[in-house]
Amino acid sequence: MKKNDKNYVDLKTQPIPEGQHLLEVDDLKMYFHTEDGVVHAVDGVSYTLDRGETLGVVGESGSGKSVTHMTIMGLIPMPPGKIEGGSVKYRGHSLLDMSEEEMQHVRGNDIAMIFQDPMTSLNPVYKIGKQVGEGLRLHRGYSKQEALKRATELLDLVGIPQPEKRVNEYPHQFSGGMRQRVMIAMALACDPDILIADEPTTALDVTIQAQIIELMQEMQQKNGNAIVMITHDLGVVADMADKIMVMYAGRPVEFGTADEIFYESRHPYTWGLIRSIPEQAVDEKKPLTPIHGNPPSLVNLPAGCPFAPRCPYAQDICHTERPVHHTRPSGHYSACHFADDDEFVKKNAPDTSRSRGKIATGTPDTLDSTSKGGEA
Amino acid sequence: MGKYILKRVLQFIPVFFGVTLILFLLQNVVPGDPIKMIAGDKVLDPAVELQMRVSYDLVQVDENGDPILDENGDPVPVPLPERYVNYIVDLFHGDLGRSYQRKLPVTDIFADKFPYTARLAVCAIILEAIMGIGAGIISAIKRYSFWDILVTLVTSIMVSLPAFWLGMLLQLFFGVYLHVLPLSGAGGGVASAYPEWMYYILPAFTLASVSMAYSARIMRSQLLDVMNQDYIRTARAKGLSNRSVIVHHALKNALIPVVTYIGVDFGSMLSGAILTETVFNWPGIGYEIYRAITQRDWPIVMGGVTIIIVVVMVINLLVDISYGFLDPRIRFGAPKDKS
Repeated sequence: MKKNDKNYVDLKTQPIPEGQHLLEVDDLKMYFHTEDGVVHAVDGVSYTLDRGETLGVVGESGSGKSVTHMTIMGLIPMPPGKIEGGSVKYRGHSLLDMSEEEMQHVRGNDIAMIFQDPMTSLNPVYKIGKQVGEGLRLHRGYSKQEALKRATELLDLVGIPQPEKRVNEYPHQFSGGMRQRVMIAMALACDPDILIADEPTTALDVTIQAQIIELMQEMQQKNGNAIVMITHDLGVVADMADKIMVMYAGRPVEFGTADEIFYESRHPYTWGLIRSIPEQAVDEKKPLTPIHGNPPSLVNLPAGCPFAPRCPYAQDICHTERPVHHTRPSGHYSACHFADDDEFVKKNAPDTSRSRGKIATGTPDTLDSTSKGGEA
Repeated sequence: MGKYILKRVLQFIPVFFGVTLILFLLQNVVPGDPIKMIAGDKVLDPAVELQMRVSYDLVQVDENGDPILDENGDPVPVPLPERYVNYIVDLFHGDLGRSYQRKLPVTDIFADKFPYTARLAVCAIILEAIMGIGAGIISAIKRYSFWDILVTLVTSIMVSLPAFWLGMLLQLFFGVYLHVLPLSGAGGGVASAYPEWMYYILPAFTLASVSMAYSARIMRSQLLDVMNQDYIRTARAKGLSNRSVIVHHALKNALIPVVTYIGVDFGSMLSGAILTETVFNWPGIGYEIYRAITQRDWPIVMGGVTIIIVVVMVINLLVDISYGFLDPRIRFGAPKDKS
């Protein structure tokens, strides 16, 4: 067991160095070197995260949301993957420079991850209790009995009825929502600093989605951990994220607080995402506004802005020059050539006064009710 | 589970009657009269021949045990359905009949031969399990390495080599050229130059060769498949080492199909490997049945096949039950991943 290793230091107990954040990702680049060419899967991702915070990572399928975080966790097989630059610092320690063995201490213990499909993410041949307690045995040196006892408590904590009985059952005896609760219990077993949730609700019924998100928030309030919420649904992060990073073609195109992204977005791709949130409650007859076209191949990226071919506002410069991050004093950045052009933004940005809040939970906030009243 | 076993046992019944019936009909279609073959090249005296047919219950007799003759003076054969019923009735009394050639009860012959086949099958299956699964695991873990390529190459060769030819090559190499292993037979003789266990090496390897190669390939592909499953990623995300992930999470899942294959294979090995036993002059049931077929010694063929049916069905049942121990989804009779 790792606990017995005398060189082992639990990074969680170490202070965050002065002036640094819990997790600092800076210009992270990870490319896959395949026979078809170099896939620019993660191409300059930067963000910071503190304890108790929730970061929403939003983008279409293939935008690099998951791969970025698999890279941070060291779960990408290398080769074919290769780190091409940047850094990831957790409590001041560079994760990219750690050995595989050191990373094993971090995984599950300091940074835990839950995945999209709870139906296939649990091992079918082992009892739930064993799977939930496995991390505790590994990172904390618990005995079998201790781990099982703690696993039972954890199941209770995540709202699984009759935990003493269910702990001895197998995954196939659980429903999808219950399995995702098990996954959360498993991820939180060692009190990680950071919980990375990779589309945790995508495979679940809509009614269960809200429950799972609530559970994650509840656990966050109890434990004070940070959450990275990866999703393709802007609605899911709308009322839980403190910060949002919008990704496109392996790059973050906009990053800011949730309010900045929803109300002061300065990137046409984010506008497109906001416009495509269903607004049934507001006007049932209004059609959804899709973003036309498909994301570019990550092997042959267009020379300029990767979104330019789909962007209704694209100018010549967009096709030739890659936009830099236009950062505002608050730290809100947008990778658009016209992000600083207030007139352009004002003219084209969606009327977001009513875009936020029609989320899975369905709780209307004040803003929504006013705007609804205004329209009717 | 009990209900499941009962259901499977009941399924034995039609299979059993079907196979024995087909075989019984076949023996009347295949050319060559068994009684005439007892005499070999010699011409049998009609009276003796008639007596033999009586003693094997092939012709109808009156209450005194004398053969009933028709108007031409020929014996009247027992009708086929009656003979089949007689056979089945005797079978349930533990009587498989008497060999035409050896004049011995078939049960005695197989009681004598079966242990040789069983011992050889056990040796072969152990060899197959250890080497097949081992090679498959190495090949999957060290994918595209030298070892993987070696395993792929060797298994391709083994799959395509006929067992009898491989057996003869091994005999030639180890027996004739190197003089390190006995050529054939099962040992136990007085003047044997080798300890008895050495007699098992070549036949066991020959018997296991093809299925060893297959089980290595199944193991490799299963393990590679399982390693791509989401729950393996979950295990890695927990911080388990690569070794733990493979040993604790991947192997048990990957083994399920391999165990099936090896189990079913064991059933077929227990029913005698005609080619291997013939090449190595092995006194098992496969060789015995082969010899009986060439001599039209039907009681031995029938008896042997009956034993094989029972053995194969019992082994298959055991394999099915063993799934339950490996896969809880089967143990609890739940549908696979209902969502």
